[in-house]
Amino acid sequence: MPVGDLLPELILLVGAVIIVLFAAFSSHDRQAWAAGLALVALALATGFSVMQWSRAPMLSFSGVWALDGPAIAAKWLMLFSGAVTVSLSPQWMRSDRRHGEYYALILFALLGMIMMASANDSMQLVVGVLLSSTASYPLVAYHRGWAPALEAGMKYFLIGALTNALLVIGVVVLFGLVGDTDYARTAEALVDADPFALTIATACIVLGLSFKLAAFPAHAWMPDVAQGAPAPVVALLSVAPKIGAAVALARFVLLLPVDQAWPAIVALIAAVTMTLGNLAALRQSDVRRLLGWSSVSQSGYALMAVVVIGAHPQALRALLAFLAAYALANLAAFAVITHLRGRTALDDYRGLARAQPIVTAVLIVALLSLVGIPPLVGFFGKFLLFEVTIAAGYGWLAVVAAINTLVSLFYYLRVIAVTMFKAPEGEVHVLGIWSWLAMLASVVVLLVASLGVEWGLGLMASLRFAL
Amino acid sequence: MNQNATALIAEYWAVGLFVAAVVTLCVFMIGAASLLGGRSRGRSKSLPFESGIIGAGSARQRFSVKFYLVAMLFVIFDIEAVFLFAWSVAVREVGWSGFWGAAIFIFILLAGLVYDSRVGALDWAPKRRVRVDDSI
Repeated sequence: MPVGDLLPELILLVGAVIIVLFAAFSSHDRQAWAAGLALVALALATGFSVMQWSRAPMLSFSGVWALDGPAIAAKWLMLFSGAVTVSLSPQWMRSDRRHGEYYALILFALLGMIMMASANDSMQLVVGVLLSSTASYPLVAYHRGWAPALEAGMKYFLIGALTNALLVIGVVVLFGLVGDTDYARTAEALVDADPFALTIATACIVLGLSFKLAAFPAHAWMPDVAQGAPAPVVALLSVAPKIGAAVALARFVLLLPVDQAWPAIVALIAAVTMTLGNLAALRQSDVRRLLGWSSVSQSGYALMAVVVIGAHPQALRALLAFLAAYALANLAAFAVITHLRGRTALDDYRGLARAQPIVTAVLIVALLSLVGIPPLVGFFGKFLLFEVTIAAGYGWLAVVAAINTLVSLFYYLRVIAVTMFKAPEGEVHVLGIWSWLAMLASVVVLLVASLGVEWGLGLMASLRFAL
Repeated sequence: MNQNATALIAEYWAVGLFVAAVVTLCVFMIGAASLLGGRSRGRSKSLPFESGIIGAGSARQRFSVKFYLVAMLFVIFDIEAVFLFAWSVAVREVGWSGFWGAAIFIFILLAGLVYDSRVGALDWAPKRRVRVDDSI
């Protein structure tokens, strides 16, 4: 049994179990130490996954577990977003008597998301999606005495239960068609499969993954979660599940035979998702909700790369570059919100530039990167997306995305304008040194990624799925 | 195809006969009792049968949330047993790697059990008898 191929995941699992036991036996003022344990586990897991890079691409555990460039790069991104979330949390959660378990839940959720990105087997995919979902529901509703958090958790749970069930149905139908869950054999057997049943299976699996992506049919939880869940949790849930699900979806659609019209369907979902997210974000007067809707629209952009994943050799690189850019920018944005003690109404941000210049600068950099303004990494992500989409013949989709980017400029700039040009009102309370450091770390990584984008893209040039 | 069907019938006819016999016996017992037995009606006859005790109160009661908690815990450890049965049939074939896999699995669930007892999920006593402990 090649246990070494699973070391990062095993470390997350063991770390989570140790944290659960630690949290059960330690007093309230020591609960925050669990954050340190979680950071150690995340650092070890990152270290071991860096060591896996040289061995990629390969399949492990009889083809069930993929160790390839996309999976490992996605793993790094998810582990980094987990680390930012963990370091944002201790001061946010300080008054919670039992917040040690919270870090275990974060590690379990990350484990599920990593499984999604690495799954080369439909049952593995189901386990990953279910693990990340069940660990995320309690995270969203962690402020159990606060009604909006419970409401967000309930919405998240109900949509999740429905779409996860659909995903399982899709996988079962696929298994009935193929007689196997392994992706390699699925691809062979699907060539002469019944097209009607295959359509049902594909539709159910795409729906199930759209929940994790917060893409069109199952996007409704994202704004509520962004508003109601603890702000550090939103930093994780708006980023990491998307990365896992996007890689999983790209891996899955490549199995489908060419006569299946999946690119058209994914393109439609992408167009609807980005347009809907942007139109809904336009009128928001709540910054967290606005970022939630913007996260929906960003999923739409990410899906553009999935549309052309089989048609253009650089589509996978574009997908990961875009996801990395989005993840860094969104983490920085939510780190700012956490650092400002989760202030959420747009009016609370009046004149922030004068009261908290550095925090405002981080927020502005993050928002501009989300739009895709040239020197920042968000620009390169979007540029690559447009390049592959147009080259593969989906010009109309690129036009829709370009219009959407223009529209999105309005609401991102509106937040920036409020911080810059309005008179400050009242005192600005901030969280503390940890959230400050996490915020700086995320923005420094964002800037470094912007400067080192050539090197990063060179590293990702040879990305491909293990077959 | 026909050959197959014949072979299947030859193999499983006894099961079919058993099912048919069960259904026939049930139909006979219920049917004969309703044909041969006497009938009487009355107010107390139409009350729900509670083993001879007259029912009292509403059926809509509030149950303690503990029941749901115990049901969930039951499912978790029940599924643990399901996985262990699967391991036990293949214990020789999977060897030591399977043993360590199962051991880790059991220890993770054991950690869950320890956690449950620490947070009081297994305490059935009423509130006032629960140990007041600020350390958790």
